[in-house]
Amino acid sequence: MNDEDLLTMVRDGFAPARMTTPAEAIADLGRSLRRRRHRARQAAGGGLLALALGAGLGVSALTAGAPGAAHQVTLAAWTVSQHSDGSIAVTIRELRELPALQARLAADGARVTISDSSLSLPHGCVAVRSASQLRTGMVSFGSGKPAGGYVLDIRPSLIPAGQVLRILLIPGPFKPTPPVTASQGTVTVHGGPVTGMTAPGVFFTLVSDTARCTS
Amino acid sequence: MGTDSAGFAEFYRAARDDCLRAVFASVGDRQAAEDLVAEAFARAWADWRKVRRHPAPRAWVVRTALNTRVSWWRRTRREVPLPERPADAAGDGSLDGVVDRALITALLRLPVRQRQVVALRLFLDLDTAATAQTLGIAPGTVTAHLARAVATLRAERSPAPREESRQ
Repeated sequence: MNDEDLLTMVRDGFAPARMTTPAEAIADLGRSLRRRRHRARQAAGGGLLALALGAGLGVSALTAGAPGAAHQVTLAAWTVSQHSDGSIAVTIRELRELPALQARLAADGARVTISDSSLSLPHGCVAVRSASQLRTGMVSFGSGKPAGGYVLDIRPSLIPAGQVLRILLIPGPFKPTPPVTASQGTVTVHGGPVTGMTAPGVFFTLVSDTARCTS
Repeated sequence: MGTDSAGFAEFYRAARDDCLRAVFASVGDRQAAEDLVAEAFARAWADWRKVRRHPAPRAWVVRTALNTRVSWWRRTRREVPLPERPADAAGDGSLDGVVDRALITALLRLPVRQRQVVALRLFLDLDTAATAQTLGIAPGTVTAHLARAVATLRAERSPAPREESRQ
């Protein structure tokens, strides 16, 4: 077998591999990318303040509470329902108005940061890696699954003192990946589609409750 | 995008599988390759006016996908200490749909740069100069990587010597 035959064999070996992502999904992702760039430019130009004000106005548009929920706040992008046992259900439909979501969770007593853009830990911020500090049920994926979204169940009382639950919604594509629990026990990874999301996963990390980690 | 939209759709239809194979061969994970290529094509869609004038749009997509992989890894490595494992070591389907698994496994054992050279030469039909430009390395390095890769693959394909039975 000469070199050409060998390389042909390699090429033929990959022939069955074909993209399954439809062109429409690529275009949707491209539009989302353009919107994010546009928002970033707006934010850089002072549009962030306007966005925050807009989100604040949105928060005031409360909906009626859902059955079983002590109270509920709903925007187009997300819903926060606090239950009488102190747990909080967060339904995320779109990656918008996340600062308002974080503010809502703080008002409900949950030390949580939530972001779709700050993908690396801030300089000087260290993730908590001790398995003993992960407590079952602190955060989990809820049973409900709205079209193209997530339900996260958070128990603020299980977030250790001096720590903050950091939630990253990372831009990426479409294919859900199975839930994975990292060996060190502090991180749960789950992939799946969220409308307007360009990212493949939701990442939970515990970080110390310091200005470096939460600012 | 008007006619741009039709142009992109045609480009995607014609290039997607080759780009997927090139990235698949480079990263060794079928699903990750699909995600990376989808992301890269989305960026091409968003910048189509620029990308369509690129001398090698397919190479742009593959290069973007490979850069995105590095970017994802850098962004998540500090937070998600997932164990590394060889492709398909656990039968996780990452090589599903591949005909000659032994050969592909041999390919995936090559150093990353050699794999990338093979992928660009094989699946995008790039010549030495274009491969070098896409990977940001010297043409001579491309030639050397390809020669070493072929030699390694040939060694992997050579049947193990066996003792002839006496009649």
